[in-house]
Amino acid sequence: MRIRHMLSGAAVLAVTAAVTVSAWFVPSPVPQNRPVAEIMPEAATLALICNGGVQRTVEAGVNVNAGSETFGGGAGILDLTAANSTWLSFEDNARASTADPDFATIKFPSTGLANVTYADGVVYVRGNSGETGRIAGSTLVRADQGDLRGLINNPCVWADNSTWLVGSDSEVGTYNVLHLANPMQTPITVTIEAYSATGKLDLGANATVNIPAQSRREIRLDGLVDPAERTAFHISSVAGQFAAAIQSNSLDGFTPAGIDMLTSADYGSSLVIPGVVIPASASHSADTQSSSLADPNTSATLRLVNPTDSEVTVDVSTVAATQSADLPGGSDLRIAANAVLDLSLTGLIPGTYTVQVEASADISAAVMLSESSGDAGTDVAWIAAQEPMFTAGARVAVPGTLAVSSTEPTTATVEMYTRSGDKTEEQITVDGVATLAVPAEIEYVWVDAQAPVVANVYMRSKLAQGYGIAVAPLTAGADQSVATKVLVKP
Amino acid sequence: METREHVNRERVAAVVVAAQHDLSYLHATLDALEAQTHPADEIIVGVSSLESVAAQALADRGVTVVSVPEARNFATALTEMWEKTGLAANDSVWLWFLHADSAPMPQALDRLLRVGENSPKTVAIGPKQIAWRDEPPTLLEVGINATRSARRVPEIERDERDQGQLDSRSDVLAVGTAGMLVKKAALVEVGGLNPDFGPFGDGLELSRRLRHAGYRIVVEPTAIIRHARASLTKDLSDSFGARRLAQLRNGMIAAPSWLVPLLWLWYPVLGVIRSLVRLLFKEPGYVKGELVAGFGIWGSLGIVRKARHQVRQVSAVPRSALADLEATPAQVRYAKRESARSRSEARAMADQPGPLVLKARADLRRYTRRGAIITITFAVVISIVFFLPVLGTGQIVGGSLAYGQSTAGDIWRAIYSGWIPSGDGYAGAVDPLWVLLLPILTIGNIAGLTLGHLTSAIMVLAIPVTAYMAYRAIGIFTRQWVVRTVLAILWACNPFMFQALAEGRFAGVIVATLLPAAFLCLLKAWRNRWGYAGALALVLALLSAAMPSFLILTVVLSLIGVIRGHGSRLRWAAIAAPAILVYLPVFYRLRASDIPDFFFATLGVPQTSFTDVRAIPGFEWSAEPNLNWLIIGAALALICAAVFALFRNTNAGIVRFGWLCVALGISWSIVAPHAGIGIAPDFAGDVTTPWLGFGLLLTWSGLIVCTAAGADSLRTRLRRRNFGVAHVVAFSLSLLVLLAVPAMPAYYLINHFQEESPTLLRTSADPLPAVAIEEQRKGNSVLVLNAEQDGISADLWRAEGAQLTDYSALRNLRMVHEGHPKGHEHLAQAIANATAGSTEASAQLAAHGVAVILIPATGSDRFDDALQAQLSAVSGLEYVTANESGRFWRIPNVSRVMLDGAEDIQARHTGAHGTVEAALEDRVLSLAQKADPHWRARIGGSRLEPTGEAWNQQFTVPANAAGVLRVEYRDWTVTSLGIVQVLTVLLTAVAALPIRRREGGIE
Repeated sequence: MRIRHMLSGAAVLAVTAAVTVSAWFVPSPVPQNRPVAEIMPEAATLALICNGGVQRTVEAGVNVNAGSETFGGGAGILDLTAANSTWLSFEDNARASTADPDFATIKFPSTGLANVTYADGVVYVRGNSGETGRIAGSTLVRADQGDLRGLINNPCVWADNSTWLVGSDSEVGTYNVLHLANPMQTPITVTIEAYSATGKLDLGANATVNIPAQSRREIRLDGLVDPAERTAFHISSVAGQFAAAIQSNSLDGFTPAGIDMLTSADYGSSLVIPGVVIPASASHSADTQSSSLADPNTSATLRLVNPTDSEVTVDVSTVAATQSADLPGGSDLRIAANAVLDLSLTGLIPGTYTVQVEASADISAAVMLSESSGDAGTDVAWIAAQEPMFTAGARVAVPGTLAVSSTEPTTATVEMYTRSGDKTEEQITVDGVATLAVPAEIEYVWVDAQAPVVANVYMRSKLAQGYGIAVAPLTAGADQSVATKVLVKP
Repeated sequence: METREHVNRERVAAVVVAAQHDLSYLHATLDALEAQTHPADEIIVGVSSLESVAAQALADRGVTVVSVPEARNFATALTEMWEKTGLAANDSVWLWFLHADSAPMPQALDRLLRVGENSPKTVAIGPKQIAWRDEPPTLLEVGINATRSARRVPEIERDERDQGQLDSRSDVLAVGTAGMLVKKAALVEVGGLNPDFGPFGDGLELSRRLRHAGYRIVVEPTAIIRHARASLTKDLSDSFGARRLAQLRNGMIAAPSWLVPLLWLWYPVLGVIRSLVRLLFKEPGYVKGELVAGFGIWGSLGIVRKARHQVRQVSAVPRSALADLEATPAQVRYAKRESARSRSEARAMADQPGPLVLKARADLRRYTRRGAIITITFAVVISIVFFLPVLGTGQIVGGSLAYGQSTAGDIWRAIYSGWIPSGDGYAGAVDPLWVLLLPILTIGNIAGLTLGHLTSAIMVLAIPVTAYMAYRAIGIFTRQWVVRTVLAILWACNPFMFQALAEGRFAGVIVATLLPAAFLCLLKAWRNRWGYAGALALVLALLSAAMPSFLILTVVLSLIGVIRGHGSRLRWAAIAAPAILVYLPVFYRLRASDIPDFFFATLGVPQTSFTDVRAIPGFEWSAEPNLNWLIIGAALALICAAVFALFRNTNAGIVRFGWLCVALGISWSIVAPHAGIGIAPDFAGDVTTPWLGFGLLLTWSGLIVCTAAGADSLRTRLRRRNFGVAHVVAFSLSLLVLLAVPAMPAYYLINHFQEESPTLLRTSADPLPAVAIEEQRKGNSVLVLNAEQDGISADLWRAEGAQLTDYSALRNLRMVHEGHPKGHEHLAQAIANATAGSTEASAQLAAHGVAVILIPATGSDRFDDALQAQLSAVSGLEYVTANESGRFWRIPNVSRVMLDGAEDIQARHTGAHGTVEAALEDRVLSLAQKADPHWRARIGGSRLEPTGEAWNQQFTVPANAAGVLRVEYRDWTVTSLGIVQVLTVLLTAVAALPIRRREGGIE
């Protein structure tokens, strides 16, 4: 009995031990998932809005050192949807009236400068054109000298109900024009919120703006917004979708101090700003990494806006080529509630960077690049935080550098088109930041990536004296802009 | 002594009928007949088959043996014998009825006959019946004392000694046929014995007829027969149905004529009620008899009519002549009370403990009560602290726990129809767990109890109930209240119970709560305490309903019980029946591909789970890793104590059983993560695996059982031994286990309150605007859209939130194997279209019965604003307003049943009803319900043909079709299975109620 007792006790212990040990030999279960796929809306009409170009903000007075104002540039919208790429023209609306019933355009009354063609209207696509639409365009203006000196790019954008425009200031000498366009068939009301370093700015009755159906408005913010050395704007509507951009130009006395168009910046707790170019001091050659010293005539500044009612903690890091690094002094930054903070990126060695921002709450951000040309003046370019996308394109029209960045290694196909429609194609590997020179004859680039990427084209153009700079952010393909994931429960 | 030589006495023919069941007593009875001081003039024996008796031997004894092969009872045997032996023609005045198992004492006939001879009006005389074994003489019957409805007065206790206590009786209502001396002429006059009675109730029926004819029925207590009552069977419940049917028939024969039809209708109902009462009082063996008798009366109308006709024909005295002899119901009740009292006194007299024993018992009771109070108080405090953030009005939701607005009626409708009104609806089975809770919901329905209230209450009460059940279960092994208290708290406050509660894993909570009860009932039933059988069946059914793996365990336990257990094999087999039967509708819906994973499937919102059992000791889920040593120490102490228990001889079998549970739990936890049982309702769509806690709860319970069983009489044994290693080990382990009591709950409470975003929430007061609730009352749905970073999540609500019944285990499983249904795809596309301003979006949403779209106020303004802007651009959506519930839109004129030109259609969750006017062309009747072959639609009685390949159910309405429209979902198989399921639950619940078995005599 005693032996039986011991044996049975040992047996149960052995069974338990054997079962426990077997856990190390049984293969681990393979995790499975059924992720929710993106759905492309059917029978939806999408609107790509081209919001024109530069408006004259200063009626008189130019730098005595400069010559007379001269403007150049132009506009263009390339549609790659059809088998043959097509340059669109708002005036003739040719495609809408003939071949493609899913395609239509309207043209806004033009308010542009003389001798420069503006893209000033709306492209509506639906059906197949909407699902596969690869359309991008912009108005690019080059002012060789004068108060508006600089290179200004205003890309066409898909209508949205919320736009963050991060940049500029509202001090004396700075002129801000808000461009608003309503592509819808009903009038909408948009709300404008302005933020400064010291908090939210009171716009009073000007905080809401009505935009009639299928029309655009330009609103001079000078005088409406209290003076502030750092600003950021949030334009939103719960009534419909629209497009917004702010033309910002500054004068330092009578010397042009920079002009650019603020475009929509991403909003979230994890932001990515691609194509931050820190030129080398030796020259502005294509090989920006030839020197370890940055060009002293250039600078880069990160602007962060915290629209929440509580303090936000931010960590900033940079990615250059395949290397990621925390930005010195960029850790554990605290942004007060409703405040705008600038962080200088001075000290970065020359190269093309992607700036990554991780915040404890949703914020928005942009990087300002500036290049001084001595007495001729300075030009600036604002690079807005960008939402990652698989397929996107941009009109360039001047030589530049395409920078593509991804959080995971991937490959991307870059198609480049000349004005005459000739296409060249290149495969690039993206592991961190990849760059590709865009030759002068190229007017249009389109990127198709295997993984979500952020990308833009840094453009630099010789002006009468010195250089002007601008950045062309890539506009997502039509499906990228509206495709959404819908999770149905239960 | 008188002899025949001195007095000329009336002739008597003794009629003995032997059936198969009492044949073995025949010779003894014949011996007794021969030994009579006044022998019968003639002895006639009726046997079913001459081969079965030594006929020649009987003939040699001067007995006339008659074969009565057609006889089915005493009356029919007598009829055959009447014809075959010339009984009618011979000169015997009296017939002495004897069963083969009723042996008269020597003077019985003499004394019976003397009574008969002395009174011409006395035509039937019965003896006193005592038990076959006459030492000591045990009283069975002294005449029949019954009510008009034939209920016998239980005036004689089981095993009551015959001390002449009823010997003063003379005139009685009736006497039994065993030993009855009846005057032949009177018997012929009243029509003889009723062939529709017997072996039960025939004496009463005949006696009443004789009474109606104006004769006297007398019992002669000095005439005694020994009666084996072989007809009653060894198990009294086996013959109960026949006895009860005889009683009901006699009751209807004696009842006033106007009452007969009512009784005919009432007795079956009464049979059902009485069978439930039988279950309630743990007398399952009588259930069949009650039902057989109750429903048997439906086929007895002809018998009753014939018998009543016979009574009318012979009736010579008014009905009141019998009334004085009939007992009243009050007398029956009084006799029952007296019987219970006397049994109680008998018990007390039999068990006369000494003062020291009495004191010891009182001490034990006091300590046991003290331990129970401490255990429950501790558990209640822990539970209150744990649930403090969510206590209050409303329901507890979060994690796997969804809203539960379903009432008992809703659940019953879903069971009956087989159609689950969730989202677009689907053909499915209500989770057996909700079906098992149906009795409580039904009772609570009066107070407005919903499933959500019930689940919330169960969550809050889980720890105290587990602690109490654990305290009782551990009491099987040890009476030491400290050991019981410590281990009961450890059983209730185990890591997996806390995790289940914190994550809203309701099925896990059920398993954690019921495992102690399962051990308690199983061990009691194993020790032949059948009062626990009903509770064991219910607990196993609940465990199986919460986690189907327990279904396998239940069947295995039942088989082991059948093979090795004490008591009835049928009862062991029946223990598994509820667990299996409540799953019938689920089995019906199961597909082959579902089966492997089905045994791991759980109800509730799917949640991702920890899948690596190897990492469990690391407690990686901890929010406060610095305190992990607390829990690891407690677990190690328990494991060591369980190992220590193996070295003891005490409760060795139980300790080994506990260790097998430990091994089984670990095995389950290794295998289970390989099953995919649901898809997490988020954009990543992770396939969820079973919660390891189910297995580890079994492991934990096994360790506790081992420790408790090993602790039995430990202190006493150690006292007897010299101080040594055993003392040190026992003391150390006891100390560690004791320390685990505060450590375990403290660890989990600290973790619980450090969670930044706790899973459990209390439902808000106004989840939906009034307009949405109004639309839901009409049968329409509310589409709730939550815009998030990754996309839009959409809920299609028919009530104030996603319901518990929406996430059935089977549906969760089906989503893994078959993906989202077509209806989901259509709805997702409609929502995507709405975000892009599609002109078709509102019509597409209306096809799902969406009448209101709500963006809840709880979402992110950033994404909600964007969604609002998108919805504002959709034609057909009417923006209403924004309030505490959120921002919402209406889609006008939505109905779950759409037919062009028909407005007068009332939609219901599982169908529609209305009137349809004729149209010139064919039309399509479109339901906002998932397509299924069991949808039926009729207009003016004509069946409509299903049409289309769409996700939803559609029918073609022919031109000119007009009339009343009826749409319903009907699957009779599901309905039948549902009824079986509900009856199973009802019977199991009744059988499980903690009411002691009644004690009593033969009814």
